[in-house]
Amino acid sequence: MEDTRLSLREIASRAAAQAERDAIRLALHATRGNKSAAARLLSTDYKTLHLKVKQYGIPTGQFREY
Amino acid sequence: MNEARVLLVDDDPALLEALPEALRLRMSALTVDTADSAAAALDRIADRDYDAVVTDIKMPGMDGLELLAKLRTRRPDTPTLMITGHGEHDLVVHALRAGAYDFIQKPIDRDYFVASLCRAIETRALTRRCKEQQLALERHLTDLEAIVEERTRELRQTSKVIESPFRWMMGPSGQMEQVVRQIKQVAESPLSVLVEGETGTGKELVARAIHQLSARREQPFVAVDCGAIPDTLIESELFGYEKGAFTGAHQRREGQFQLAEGGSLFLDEILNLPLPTQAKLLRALQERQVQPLGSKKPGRVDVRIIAASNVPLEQEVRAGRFRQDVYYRVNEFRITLPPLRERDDILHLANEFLPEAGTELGRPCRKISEAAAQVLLRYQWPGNVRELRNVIRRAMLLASDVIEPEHLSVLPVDPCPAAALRGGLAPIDSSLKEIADAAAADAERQAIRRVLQATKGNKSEAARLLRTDYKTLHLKMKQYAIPAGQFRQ
Repeated sequence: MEDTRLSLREIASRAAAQAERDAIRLALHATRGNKSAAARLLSTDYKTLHLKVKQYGIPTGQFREY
Repeated sequence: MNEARVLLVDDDPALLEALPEALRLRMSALTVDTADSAAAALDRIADRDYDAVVTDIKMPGMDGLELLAKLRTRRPDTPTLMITGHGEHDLVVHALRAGAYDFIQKPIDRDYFVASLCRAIETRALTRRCKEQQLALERHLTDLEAIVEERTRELRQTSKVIESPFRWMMGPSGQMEQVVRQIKQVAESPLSVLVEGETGTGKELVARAIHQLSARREQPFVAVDCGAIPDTLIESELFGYEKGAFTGAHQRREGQFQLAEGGSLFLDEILNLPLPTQAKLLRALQERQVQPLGSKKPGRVDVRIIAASNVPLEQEVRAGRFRQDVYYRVNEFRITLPPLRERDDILHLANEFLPEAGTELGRPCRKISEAAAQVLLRYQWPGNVRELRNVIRRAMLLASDVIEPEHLSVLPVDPCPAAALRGGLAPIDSSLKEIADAAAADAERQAIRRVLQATKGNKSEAARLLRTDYKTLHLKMKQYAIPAGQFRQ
């Protein structure tokens, strides 16, 4: 059981991070890399989204090509 | 001043003749009645309440002093003036001590007599007015008291409707009627009650209702979640301990049994009691005595036991996990709560929770859409009424006006926000934070279930594996409606 080596708190925060990353990618995809629009879609502010994009190392450039 | 009426008592006919005339000349609006003996005077005062009485002291038969004494008891408010002979000082002192208003010496100084009589009449009028006002005040007070009493009764009636312990139990179809009937039946009796029902079906509400409807309602209701207390602490928690009973017992502490004295003790998740504790509980139930840890002699307790279990306790007795004798003791009367999925009042309850959540979250009351209602009806509700309440509360936060299926994101019949995103739909009402929270909750729920499976329902062990504390794990299990019992087999 891989996960039991993690604490309950770690399990929760990892799952939260994973979901955030997925949601941000999808939102950026939907808005063709427009971070302001993506932030609006996710009911968060531009600054938070910008920080998270950086934190998760999501390259925004790739979405603009579609 | 209204027309005053005085009574003149004397055995001397000449005086009875002359004095009234003289008084009438000097005082306007005065009626003077006469009596030629004390006995005749008593007849008169029986018929009429005089403003003042004037009496000679020396009379044959009953004398003036005796008359005074009778007047003081029969008409205590009527001032009495005594007529005395010259130099009868002893009599004067005697009369004044006996409550005479004034004394008039013979030969009568008419000016003084009139002045004294006027004062007497005035005093009498004042006393009467005071009494009338007092009476009026008292009447007024009585009226006010009656009004207050009535208002209080009305208020109590209203709040009884609002705070009725049955409000959340009753659907329009009355499916819970049987339960309510049982609660009413058993409340007044001294029987121990066992409440069985899945997690979140309202077992504690039932216990509180029983307490509220019992004669013990003014006494404490103490609830103990037997699952929330580690095995090592449960006995000191229940029965208390003496100073120095164990390391760290710096001072004596009362147990929940003692705290519930005279009232009701609710033992929630009683199945979690370790077997040795069950033995001690049995003694408490049989002998109505509990012995705090480290104490030499047991103390008497008068406590009504209401126990709850989320699995049928009888089945646990057969499996050897619960003592039969304890089971018999707590199961003097049993109330079984149906799971929410078997109830036909899900929507009624949901609508009950709407305004409640609205007040709590400071949002106006909203509606539940037809589509969302269908989702609520299809869901299995493992966490029962408590889960429904939480779902409504959460939906209220997410919805802007009407609760739609997508606001019921915790329910598996509905695509969760992340899945909706993945499915290529435009991102919906859920914010980044809510998506993260939902994912975290999901992961926690799965991890807890998995670890409980591995530890066969041992919560202490599961908490250790998840590197969290027992209490947190217990709370989360409650929050996610994960019953420990199902992992035990």
